[in-house]
Amino acid sequence: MAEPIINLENINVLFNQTSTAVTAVKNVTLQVNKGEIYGVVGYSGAGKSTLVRVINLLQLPTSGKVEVNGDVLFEKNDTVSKRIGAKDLRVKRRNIGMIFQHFNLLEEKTVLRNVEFALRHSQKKEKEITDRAIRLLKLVGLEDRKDFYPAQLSGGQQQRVAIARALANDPEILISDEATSALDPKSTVQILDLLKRINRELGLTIVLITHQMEAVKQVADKIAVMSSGEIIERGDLVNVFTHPQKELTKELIGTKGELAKAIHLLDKDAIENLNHEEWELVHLTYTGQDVVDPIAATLYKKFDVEVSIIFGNVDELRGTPVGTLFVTLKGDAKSRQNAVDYLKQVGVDVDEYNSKEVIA
Amino acid sequence: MIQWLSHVMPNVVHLGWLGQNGWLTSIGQTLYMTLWSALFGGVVGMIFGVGLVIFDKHGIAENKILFNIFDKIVSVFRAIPFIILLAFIAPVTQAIVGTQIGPTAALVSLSLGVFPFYARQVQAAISSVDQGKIEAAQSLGATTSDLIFDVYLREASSELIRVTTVTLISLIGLTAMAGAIGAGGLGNTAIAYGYNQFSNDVTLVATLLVLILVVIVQLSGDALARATSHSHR
Repeated sequence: MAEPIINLENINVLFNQTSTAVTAVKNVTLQVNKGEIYGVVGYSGAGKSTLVRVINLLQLPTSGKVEVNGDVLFEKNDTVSKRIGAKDLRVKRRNIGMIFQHFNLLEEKTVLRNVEFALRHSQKKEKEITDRAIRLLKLVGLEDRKDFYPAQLSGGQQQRVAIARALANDPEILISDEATSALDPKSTVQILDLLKRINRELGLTIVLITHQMEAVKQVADKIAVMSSGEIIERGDLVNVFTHPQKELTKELIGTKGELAKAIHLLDKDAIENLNHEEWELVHLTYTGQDVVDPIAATLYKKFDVEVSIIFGNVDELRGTPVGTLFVTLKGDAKSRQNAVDYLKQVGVDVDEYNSKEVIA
Repeated sequence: MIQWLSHVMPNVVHLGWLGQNGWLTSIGQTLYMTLWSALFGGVVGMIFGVGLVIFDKHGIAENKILFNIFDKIVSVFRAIPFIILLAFIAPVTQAIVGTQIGPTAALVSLSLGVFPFYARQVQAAISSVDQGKIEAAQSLGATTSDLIFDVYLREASSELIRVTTVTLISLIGLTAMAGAIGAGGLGNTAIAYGYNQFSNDVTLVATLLVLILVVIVQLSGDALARATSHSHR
């Protein structure tokens, strides 16, 4: 159904340091479908920026295949070696907008001139270029600042100018390289809302790289987790967040921290005199509040299992509330098993932690 | 007034305003040499400075051979002491201008003397342009000439004005040296009519005039650089 607009195959990027070659991106294959917001997350140095720069060939890969919108921009392996010409690449790049952490506006040009700069080669007349630039500034809500210089604007405003500039040539793809990382929380939300809006209204495909999990939580449809140049986990946002597989993913999205907190908060006195066989710690993840509200009562009545809530948290993943709850279940093994089965049946994800491990 | 002046500075007054050795003549010659060699040396130096940045490794038009040629030429000319260059280049001057003496003849060696200095200054100035701006412009499909004129030169403009000021001031110094081998100008006056004839008053006045020239250049350069910059609130 969905067609990939960006297709990266077996991308390798090696940097030649003085003596050793450093692999920044290791054999990465990535498809991004039209109209998607794809988040690439990972700690700094994981190779995220290098990987996305391959899409518009700001970074030439050492090997692999780069295909954008059906056109092969770069292909190099044992049998083929080709690369798009400089002129065609410039044209192609205008179809791939990009925004940056430090905005990278031209500081000696006004806001309007910055946007017009992007339209210089658009074959339009001067008047049309100005009109289009002003329309773009309206889109990002800054038409009244058109004669300001970037230094006179706040960070959030500068990033909006950068977005207007990136959209000037009607690109189908927008690459956001840590675009909200240098902004305060309020501007971050505004920029993310703007990205979501242009994704919806203009059908723009967005590749968003960030180390801020909050950012991808708000806007991404899919995410890929990168570590040491490789994609270690990928998939639908809600899936990855609710079922993280790799340790690093758990660390990034905070599951690990939450578990530690749950164990810390565990009422030691209440369980001290209990046998290890008689209780366990479980981590429940659910969407929709109504599922869990009557849970304690139900489990007690139906299965004779006592539920004590240690702590809970509700997160929003792209508009969907996702709840997470750490509870202890007390009761015999059989009843607990029934309770867990019941929970799974009503659509709650259950991670069980053996009491022995928890205490240790 | 004149009477009083001819009492304290007899030799200064004796030189007069106009005439071959007059003060206005030598001020004019200094300006003539400074401005023309700034123009010739400036254009060549600018081209070399830009070349050194764009042909450099990871530059926007990376080219090892051209970079090495530019780099070696600049380094070699930069290494020759100016006073030796003056003598060394005399036959070339003779061929181009037809004479080895006078302000016009001095232009050849002044231009050659100042361009490598300016090239290095320009190189440093435009290297200071944030690489991110280049990358952003490239992501918009900018051409090499867009990158040179709209990003490098425009974004570094106030820095370029600053280094141009420094270069002009050092050029005024070079014209004084050229004066020593008969190019005329205030340097020539200070040495030929002041120092060599034990007329300290002439040396003093010539020095003061050079100083005033330098201050004017410095102040106008600073003001222009400030007016050009929009990078700070």
